[in-house]
Amino acid sequence: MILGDLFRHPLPLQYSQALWLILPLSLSAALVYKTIRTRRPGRLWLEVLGAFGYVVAGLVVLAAALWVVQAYWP
Amino acid sequence: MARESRRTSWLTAPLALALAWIVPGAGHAYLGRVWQGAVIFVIVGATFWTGIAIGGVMTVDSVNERWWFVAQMLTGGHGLVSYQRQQRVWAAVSEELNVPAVTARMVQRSPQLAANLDQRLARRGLALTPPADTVARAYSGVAGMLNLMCMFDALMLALMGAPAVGAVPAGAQEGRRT
Repeated sequence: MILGDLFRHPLPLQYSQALWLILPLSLSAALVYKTIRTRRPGRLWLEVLGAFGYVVAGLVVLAAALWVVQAYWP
Repeated sequence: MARESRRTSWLTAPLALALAWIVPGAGHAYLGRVWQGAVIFVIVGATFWTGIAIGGVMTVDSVNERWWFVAQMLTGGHGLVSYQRQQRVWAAVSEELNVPAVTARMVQRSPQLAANLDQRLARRGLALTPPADTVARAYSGVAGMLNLMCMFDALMLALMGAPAVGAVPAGAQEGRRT
């Protein structure tokens, strides 16, 4: 019943919380991408962490650039 | 030997593609890449259902969010189950409003109908509001795009007849025997 409700009604979410939810999404994208690309399954976690860091760093740089444009653009 | 002949069959590529769509990861498992298939199955499924958990049943919305809907349907079975759940809600709301099954065209043509639908959904506690709508659709849509990447990979592997990751190449095996 509780599980059914969970997948039926939306969760109350704040903007400040929503931003953090990009991290698990980036991790899952990195995990799937590296799973199909890796040639060395033993090093999968290292490769996933590398890709995850790369994605997060890219998003941070993009966010900073957009903030600068938004704050200082005439 | 039987496995090799199955891999080279003309049916292998379309079957791998279809399996990869309907059950994420099944295409890779069919091609002998079981652990890759298992990871894809778990991660794509978890990402999609996390989106549904955040946004509820109306996350998959074929009426108002067509492009997200296309991305969500790329998750195959997951998307179809969610679509069926959403259709049941639309059917119940249509019945309340005494209109035939709601379509995107009907909503676009009649702002009054769109407002009524929103009101009914809100009353049932099913209406999606920001930022939950964006996050929910991003999760479920990205899950679909990830599965599209996996489907393409399974198709390419099937067409090229690539061996499983970590498998010993045939030449190396022969070298070991001598």
